[in-house]
Amino acid sequence: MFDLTKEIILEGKDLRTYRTLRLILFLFSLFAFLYVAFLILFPAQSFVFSFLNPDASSNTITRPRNSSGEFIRNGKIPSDTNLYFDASLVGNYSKAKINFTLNKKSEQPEFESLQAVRSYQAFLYPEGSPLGFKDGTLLKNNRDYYIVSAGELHKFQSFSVVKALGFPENSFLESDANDLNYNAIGSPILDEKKFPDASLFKIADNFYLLKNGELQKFIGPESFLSQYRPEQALEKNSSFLDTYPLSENFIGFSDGSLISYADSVYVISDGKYFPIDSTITFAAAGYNWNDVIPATGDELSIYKKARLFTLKDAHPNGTVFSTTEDGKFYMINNGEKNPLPTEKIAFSWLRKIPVVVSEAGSIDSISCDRLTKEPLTLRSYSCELELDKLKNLLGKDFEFNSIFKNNVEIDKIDIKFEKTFTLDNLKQTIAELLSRVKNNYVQQ
Amino acid sequence: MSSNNFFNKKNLRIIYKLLHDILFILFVFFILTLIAEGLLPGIVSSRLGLYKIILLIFCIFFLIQLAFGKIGDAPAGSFSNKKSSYVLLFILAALIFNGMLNLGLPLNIFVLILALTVLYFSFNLFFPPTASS
Repeated sequence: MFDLTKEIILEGKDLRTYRTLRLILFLFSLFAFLYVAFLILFPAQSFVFSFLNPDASSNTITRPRNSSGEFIRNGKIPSDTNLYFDASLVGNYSKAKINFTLNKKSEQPEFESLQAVRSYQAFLYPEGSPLGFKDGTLLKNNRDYYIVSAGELHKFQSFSVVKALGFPENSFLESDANDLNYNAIGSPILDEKKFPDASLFKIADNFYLLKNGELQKFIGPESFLSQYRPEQALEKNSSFLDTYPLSENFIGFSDGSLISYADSVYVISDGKYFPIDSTITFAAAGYNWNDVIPATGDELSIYKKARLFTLKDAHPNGTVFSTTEDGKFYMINNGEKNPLPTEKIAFSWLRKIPVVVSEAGSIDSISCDRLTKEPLTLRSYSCELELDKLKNLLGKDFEFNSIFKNNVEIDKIDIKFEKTFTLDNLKQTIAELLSRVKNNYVQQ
Repeated sequence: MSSNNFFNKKNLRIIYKLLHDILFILFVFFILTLIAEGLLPGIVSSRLGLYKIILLIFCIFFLIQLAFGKIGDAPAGSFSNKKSSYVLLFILAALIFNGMLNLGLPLNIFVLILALTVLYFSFNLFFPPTASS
């Protein structure tokens, strides 16, 4: 074996002692190395929320809340009341141990149940009313022609009105009576010279939308294409700009768009841009690199910078989900998920690949119905959930829902996700690590 | 008094040799960690703080110096080893290159050459080559 200190010469018993100790040292190092490898290959992830310090940045459990979505700050949970909380993480784990540490003033807990589902937080929002076609969509049903404006269907009086205004027939989307049921009926369009609101125009290389009698310019061609198909815009020459006053406001990218500027990727929503904190978050949120639109500084300047979009954040307004089971579409809007009820309606909204989600994730749950007292603790109670049933579901968020039969006061919630030592888990972790390396290097 | 006996010159020579072995193992572990962190940031540091390894390396350095002072009559060893220097230099270059992937290939190579040149001259400044070498 190599000797790093040749200048020190040992002989006889000393040499034998040194060699024995050196062998022990190398064996110990090998075990230490294997231990670190084990920690990496069979990881555990811990999450915590302290009700004693609800605003602490060290709280990694998201939004402890009641059924109405109100944030619970003090840990006081009335009897038969749902306590919801979320944990967001990447990868599949074998089990989760949930631990409640109760306040010393709290009653002994009479536990009813604890359930967990796996999906995306936003997809677990309550279902809202179905949405109709997007404003600006031109529709055709048999011999009737429509434009959608302010959520209402405005019927062109006759095809001659359509022709007189110059809308090409191929820009109208063929739809059936069922598709048209989801937009309210607005006033008909009679005037052959006046364009209806929500008409789209292309003048030179710029795109405009007519709104309240003013032309609103899209900040760039890419922002138009993030919302509409190119054939939806009526081509006009520059003299058309004299017909309507030009609005001072610009139209940006559609909500939920992914844009890149310099080295960062942002998600756009409600007039703000949220910088995505890492490629891990990007991939875990179900986003697709092909949907990232390169933007200029000018295009970004119409937005306000918002906080970082991290793994524990819910998808913002404008995100469209598509279910793996039956291809249903939902759009996130102010704490609700609104179904896009027909394929044609979904087509009018979709300009990028939707986030794929398992519908079963919001329905299939796992539960434990016994809370056991932790040994050597005074007020700590835990229950363990086997996560195998949720293994193949898409989504980065686990939503937990617990109910106690009596009033309890919780000081702290801990969750520990663990991977058990199996060949399947080893293969899975290696696949996940390779995919992370790929994300880091291929999608730059 | 038994502790005095334990740290006698004979035992100190064994400890001195073992400390070098520990230092070597820690260096190998640290370099492997740096490579892993370069490929997947956070893979080790999320479980084991890198500062802990660095602190441990400094502690071992300190103990080696202490043991060397106590041994007294041992000739000072030399760590210089051309082969391992080349390996370390290659790893260093690869880590710098990996850290600047976003810059684009030409700029990355330019900065890498610049960094290695600065490193070479700094090394020569602090450890000037002797006439015999």
